[in-house]
Amino acid sequence: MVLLVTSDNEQFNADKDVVERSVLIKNMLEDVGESDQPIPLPNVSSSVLKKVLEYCEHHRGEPLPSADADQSQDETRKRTTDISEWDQKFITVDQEMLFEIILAANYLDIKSLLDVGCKTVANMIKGKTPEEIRKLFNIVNDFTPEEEAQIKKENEWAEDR
Amino acid sequence: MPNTLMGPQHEPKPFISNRLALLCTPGDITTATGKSAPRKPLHATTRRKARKTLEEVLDLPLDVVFEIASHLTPVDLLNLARTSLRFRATFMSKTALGVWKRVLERIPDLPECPRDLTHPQYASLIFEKFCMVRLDTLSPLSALTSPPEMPARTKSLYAH
Repeated sequence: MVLLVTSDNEQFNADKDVVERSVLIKNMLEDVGESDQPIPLPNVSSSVLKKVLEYCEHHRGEPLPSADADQSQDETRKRTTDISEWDQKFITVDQEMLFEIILAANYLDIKSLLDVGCKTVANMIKGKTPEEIRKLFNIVNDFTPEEEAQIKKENEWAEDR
Repeated sequence: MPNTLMGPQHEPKPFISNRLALLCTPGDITTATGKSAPRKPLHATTRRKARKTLEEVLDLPLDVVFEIASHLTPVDLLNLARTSLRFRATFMSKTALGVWKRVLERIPDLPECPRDLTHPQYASLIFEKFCMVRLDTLSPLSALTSPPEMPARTKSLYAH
């Protein structure tokens, strides 16, 4: 068992093979060796870690993507924004939690979870007009009408102007 | 007497209209009046959550933002880059070149971006000017073969 301590000082006990889905924690455990020392996770709150552990628990035992598998993984990523049924249900949370999970997956280095989060946000954006995207993420339209008309025609790199 | 009664009766009015104004997002106000939003903070009394989401997509680490964007279609990415100045600056910067490349690479049989076009220009040219149908049902090749005004370099790339 591994003891994790969240930013809000809650302690979580989890199996080693569950928490080791996080490459960050896996590396930490390897560095520290056998130890009862709790692992502090100052960037993850308890509500988010609870979700993350739920994900790791469900996917325990599945092969972790190795560094040299990057190529084939990229191929899979290229093909699809499909998310498995369980993952889809798991990631059906409010926007704030979704972003928190993405942040945590990025920090903890859990590639598959980061992927699920990113694909979910991408799927939210898909097929929407700029105005619909603004509504979705509460983005303020700070273009003047002239600029807005202009940017529809212009697609140069910003640095080139 | 009537004066003291009038006071409290009148006061709620501006209060209610202020509240109504708060129900509209700045984006709504912009569209409703047809006027552009001035470059200043639009409402100081934003609810905590709204403010949090407001910036949150771009407050994610840039590589995560790019990872999200690379799952989009070219048209979605063009639309995302048209939502605000900050999104525009993020995705029309050459640091986003990899994102545009990945998004375009995913389109089957799409010839490489011609050298005289930027990737966003190429995406717009192929997927906005020619393809008004659902792009996932149409091979971009059919769009490339027909138009006579297609730049010569694009054609030669297509021939490879």
